Amino acid sequence: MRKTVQMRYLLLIPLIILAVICCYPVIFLATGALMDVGELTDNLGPVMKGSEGFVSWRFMPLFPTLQNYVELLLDSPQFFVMFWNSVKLTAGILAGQLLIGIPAAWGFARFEFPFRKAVYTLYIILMMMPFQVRMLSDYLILDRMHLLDSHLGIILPAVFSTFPVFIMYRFFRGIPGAIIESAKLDGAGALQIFLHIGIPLGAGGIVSAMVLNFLEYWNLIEQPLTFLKDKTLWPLSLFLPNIGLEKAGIAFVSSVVTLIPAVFVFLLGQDYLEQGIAAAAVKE
Amino acid sequence: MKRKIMGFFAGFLALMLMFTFLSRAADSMTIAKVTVKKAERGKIPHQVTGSGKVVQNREQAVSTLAGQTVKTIYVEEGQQVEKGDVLFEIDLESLKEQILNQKQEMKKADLTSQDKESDRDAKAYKDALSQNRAVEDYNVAAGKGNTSVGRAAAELNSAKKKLKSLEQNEGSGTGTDPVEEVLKQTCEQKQKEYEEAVEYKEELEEAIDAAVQKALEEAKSMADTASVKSVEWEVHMSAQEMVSSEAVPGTIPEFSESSVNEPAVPDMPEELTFDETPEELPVEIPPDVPNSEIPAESSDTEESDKVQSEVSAETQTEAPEKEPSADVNNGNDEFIIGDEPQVIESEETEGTADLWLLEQRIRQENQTLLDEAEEQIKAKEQEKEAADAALVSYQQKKAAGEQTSAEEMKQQIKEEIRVKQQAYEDAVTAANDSLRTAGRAVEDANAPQGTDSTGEIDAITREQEELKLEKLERLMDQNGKVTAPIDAMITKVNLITGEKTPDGTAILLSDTAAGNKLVVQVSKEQEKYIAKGDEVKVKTNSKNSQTLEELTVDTVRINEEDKELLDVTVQLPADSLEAGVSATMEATRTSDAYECCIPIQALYEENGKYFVYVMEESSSVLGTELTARRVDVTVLDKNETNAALQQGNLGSDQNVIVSSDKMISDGSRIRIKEE
Repeated sequence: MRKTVQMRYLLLIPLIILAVICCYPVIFLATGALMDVGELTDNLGPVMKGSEGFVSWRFMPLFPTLQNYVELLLDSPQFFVMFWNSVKLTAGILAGQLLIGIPAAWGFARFEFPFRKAVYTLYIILMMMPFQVRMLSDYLILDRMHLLDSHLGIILPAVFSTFPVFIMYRFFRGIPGAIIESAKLDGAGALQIFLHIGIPLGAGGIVSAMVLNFLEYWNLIEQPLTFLKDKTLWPLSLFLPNIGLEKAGIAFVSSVVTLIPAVFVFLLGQDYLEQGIAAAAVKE
Repeated sequence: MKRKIMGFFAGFLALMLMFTFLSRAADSMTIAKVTVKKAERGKIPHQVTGSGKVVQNREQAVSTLAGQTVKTIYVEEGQQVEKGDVLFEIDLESLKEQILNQKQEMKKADLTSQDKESDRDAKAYKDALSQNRAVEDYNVAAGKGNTSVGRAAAELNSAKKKLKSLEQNEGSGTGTDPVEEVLKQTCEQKQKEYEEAVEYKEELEEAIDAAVQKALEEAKSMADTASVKSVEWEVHMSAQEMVSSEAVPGTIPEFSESSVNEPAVPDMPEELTFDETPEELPVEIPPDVPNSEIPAESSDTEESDKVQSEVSAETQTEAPEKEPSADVNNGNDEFIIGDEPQVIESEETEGTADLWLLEQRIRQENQTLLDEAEEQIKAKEQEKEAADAALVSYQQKKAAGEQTSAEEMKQQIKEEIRVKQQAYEDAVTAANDSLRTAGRAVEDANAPQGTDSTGEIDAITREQEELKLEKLERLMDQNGKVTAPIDAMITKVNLITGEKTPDGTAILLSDTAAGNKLVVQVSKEQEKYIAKGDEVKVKTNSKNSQTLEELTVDTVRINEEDKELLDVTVQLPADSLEAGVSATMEATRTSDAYECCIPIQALYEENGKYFVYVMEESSSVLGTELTARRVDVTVLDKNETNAALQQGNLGSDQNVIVSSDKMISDGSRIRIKEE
């Protein structure tokens, strides 16, 4: 018994080391956000200015300061414009996906119709395609629909994303047929069964899809960069590329602030996230 | 747990919302609020203004003698006076005292100058006298030399003759004793010489008496002559002619030994030569005077010239008539005696009491000659006695049978000749020495003297003093009152009651008739905007200000004290503004029309380059923003309010930032201030 406990502790050590390595970027951000410009320049100079030597880093800032926070939160209205743009885009996309994706996934999971399998396969193929493949066609279509340079141009394509359908499909398929049968016997219609049986039982899948998609769309870069010319519409993910060495501190702080919603969402959907990932991993 | 997290998330979003507002608010505070204006077509008027004082065109200074006590001042600065008004009054008591002082001072100066005059005359007389004496000494030296040389030559000759006759007697073999013969001859000769000496002394005494007589007579007659100087001048002129005709060289004559063997020359030999075996000796020395380079301008040298020429003239004419040996002395004496009165007559015209002194002086001067003659007589007497004694002793010896051989006698005579020869040579040398010394004394006496202008200076001083006295008296005549010479205004009073009047201006008047002008100072930078003839406005700075328009600029000059300023003068119309009033001048000159004019506040300068900020729209994360962009411009003209820029620098639709509540730079975000 004792031996097993000791073994456990021994196993902890490499795990802690691995955890630290994984957490390193976050720690990097947190300390960098507290450094002043001089210290950051010294540390990052070799990368960002091309001066001699290598990037050095210390975990405790020599001259900790909250100046970067003050500067970002009080002196950078641009940051908030972008923040709220990001919130708007992400929220819009997730809402759209709930509206479109859930019924689509329910349909695929619970109804038999011609070419169901073929359509579903097409969905999966489309899901596999990276953005770069669809970029030009998307652009041409959005241009024709006059949706370029607007948030709808980002939201609408994302609303019809196949990924949440795929995740939710798994969960809806997992609902036992007996339950649906008994509901039918009790006189429930198709809509009632979807609303009262399907959604509550598939909630785990819905949430995990939402969490995964939140993280994806919160960090959206390619689409806004391609489709949005008007800077006022840019999301937060485009804030950082605009910052140089002299504003490295602000970059760190903005990264930290950007991280916060993602952390909240992760904490909220942590349980479902695992299920969702597991579901995505298992293929029929 | 989930709820908590949801709560935190909501809190976070609320916080972000709050910061959004805060940052916007902070941002809006940092943005410069500006006013803008488009460049427009316009003219640049240049206004030149400056303040200054009205001054009078012409000023007149009233001054009086310095050092007078001011009794009362009747006027003050700024007061108008008419011609003849009393300006101030001088204390009469002190004025009287000054006049008295002045008169006394002048009297003193007169006396001093008289004293100086007589001093000068006395000095001139002394100078002439010393010149004369030097000339006399020279002549005496020459005479003496002649005499002693002649005498030495004669003795030498007689000794030689003695030897010759001794030899002849010996050769002839006559019964007579040759030695005794010679001794007898000697005795006779000595006797003769003695008589001559006595005769010479008598002649000398006579000559002195005659000279004294003549001098006294002439002194008396010359005392009546009005212009002594003119007579002297004539005499001098004739003397000069004589000098030039004789062509006497300016060197001291030399007694040279080589010419002694030549026969005695009765007239003037150039040199006396001397031989080893002289047969006959020259006995006369030219009594001329060293005629050194003497400037003819000096009155002192004139006299010496005259004296000198007369010396040579007189000796030349009288020399042939007399015996050579005595003649020189006689000639000299006669010259000295004859010449003396002429010198004296010019100097001693005052007082007959001086006549006695004159006689004494002449006698004293010739006393040495008399003494010498006396000594000569004594010496001759002794020689004669010695010769007689020699003859007697020889005769006694002969009688006693002590035969002195002829050979012995010859030997004695030869010895005598040698001694005489020696004496002759010594005499020549001594004569030359004394002649040279006397010649130098004449040169020294003739040395030129510095000019003396004290007399003229005294005269000038006296004129000045007279002028001062005249002024004082004129002031006295006016009862010490000084009046205004013209109708004028008092500009300055340099007097204080009870104090002394100053050296310069006592009261400064401005001529009312000449009008006034305004002189203002403006910065030199404005030179190109104001010129002679420009129309200006003049405004007085007083409470109820008065404006004069359509005046013209009279002159524009650089200020003498400060080179950065210009003095602009504006002639004022008669009776418009009084002197001393301060006023402002205003001149406006408008440029040609420029296409692109902006307010001067919009123009910035950096390192000598001008630029403006124009408003531009730019899109950013925050939307369309206004930013300031720097545009370099060329300024064509500008004044205090506007600047004209070269066309092309700015577009006609561009908004130029005219004012801003914060510092802006290239790229600064701006907001337009709502009026």
